[in-house]
Amino acid sequence: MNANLENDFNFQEQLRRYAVGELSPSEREALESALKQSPEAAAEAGFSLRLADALQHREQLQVSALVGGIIAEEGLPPVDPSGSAGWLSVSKNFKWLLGVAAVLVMGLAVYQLAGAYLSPAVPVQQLTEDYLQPLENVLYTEDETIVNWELKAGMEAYDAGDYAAAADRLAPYYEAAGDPNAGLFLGVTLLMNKQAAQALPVLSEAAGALQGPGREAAQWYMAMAWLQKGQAPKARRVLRAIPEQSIYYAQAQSLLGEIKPGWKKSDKQ
Amino acid sequence: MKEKSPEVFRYLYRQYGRMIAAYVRKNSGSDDDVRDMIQIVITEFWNAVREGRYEEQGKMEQYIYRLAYQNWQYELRRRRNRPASSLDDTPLQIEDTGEEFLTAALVKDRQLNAIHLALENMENPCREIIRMFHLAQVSLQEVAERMEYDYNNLRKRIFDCRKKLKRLAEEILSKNER
Repeated sequence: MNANLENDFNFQEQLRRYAVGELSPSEREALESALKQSPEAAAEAGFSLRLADALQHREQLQVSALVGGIIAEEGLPPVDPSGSAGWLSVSKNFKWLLGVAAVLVMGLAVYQLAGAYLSPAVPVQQLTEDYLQPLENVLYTEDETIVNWELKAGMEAYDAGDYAAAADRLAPYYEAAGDPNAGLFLGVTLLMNKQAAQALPVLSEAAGALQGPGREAAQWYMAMAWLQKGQAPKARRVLRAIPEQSIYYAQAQSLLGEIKPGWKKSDKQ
Repeated sequence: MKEKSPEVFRYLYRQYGRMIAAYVRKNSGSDDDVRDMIQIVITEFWNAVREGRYEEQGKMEQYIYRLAYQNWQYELRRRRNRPASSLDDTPLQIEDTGEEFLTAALVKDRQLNAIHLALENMENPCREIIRMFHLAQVSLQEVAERMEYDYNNLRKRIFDCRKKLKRLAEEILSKNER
């Protein structure tokens, strides 16, 4: 570093005023132009700007450093071994698939037998009403001006709880764009309108296309759709596929505990 | 939480770190990304509580998930739209990166974090001189009077303290990069 710049009081004072926004537009322009001519002066200015930031955002930096220290002490969370495989992906291991199919067929038989003798404790539709809540709108758009207006209007109606209007807007956008995130919200919208049969294929596509929490949300709402249709065994199957680290896991387990083996389609009536 | 108790942040990390990590990893994030995102999300959550934006409406885990989702989507967009080679040569201040993702910019700026740590570790009177000169917008003459320094002596001290701070920050930065 050029010692002259570090000890040049006028230059340092000008940098300080630059960093705290005290320079007039013409002074600022002149300084920025001078900084482009000298890498050393630009480095000094970079330090001054960061120093001003460090002072201004001290508390946030303290918290961030505190959390960084905790991560260093405790280590990063381990990699989830089930994270790589999609829940709707097809395995190449045919024998494994056969085994799963056999278990499912046997499970279905047990459900049907149990259904003949056991009676449910709570009606299916009651459970759906207890558990079905609209998914929080987390669709993020960086620049409002480039948002598709149909999507924007659909999500505004969704946020306002007007699910009929939301479906009218989201359905054409989803069909045209094939955006799985929009599909997820369209599926939830249809469910809120009690249109489980229409919601299921849309949610199934979203579950296949999305990763992580998006997929898990689609799974959760597929389970809701099956319950709304009175298909408790299918709801159970989807709920069991929700992974342990998912934010839906706890409520999926709770719901599984409430769906009794005796559920059958006639119970929805 | 507003008191910045380490135990509260440890609880938040243990409770939600796994969820954030799983989401970032499943969406093509590395371990470094996981580390950054956990810091960003917990810091932003603390900031939301402090500013009264989080009012315990709904589940905390859903709020935290939303923060992780928004910040990671922003990061992915940023990487697509602004490769490292296209960075401006003009020094940028944190606010210039966009207020909405200020926390992300703060957490990811290694040099800024090194300067912050250097300042925290610096002893007085240097820390106070730098703070008063750079932040408090007090004239140098007033600083000299408050600290009972001769004006010319204070000017020299400012340069000395600033150099000391830079050296400390560089040491922290190179230690972290090792």
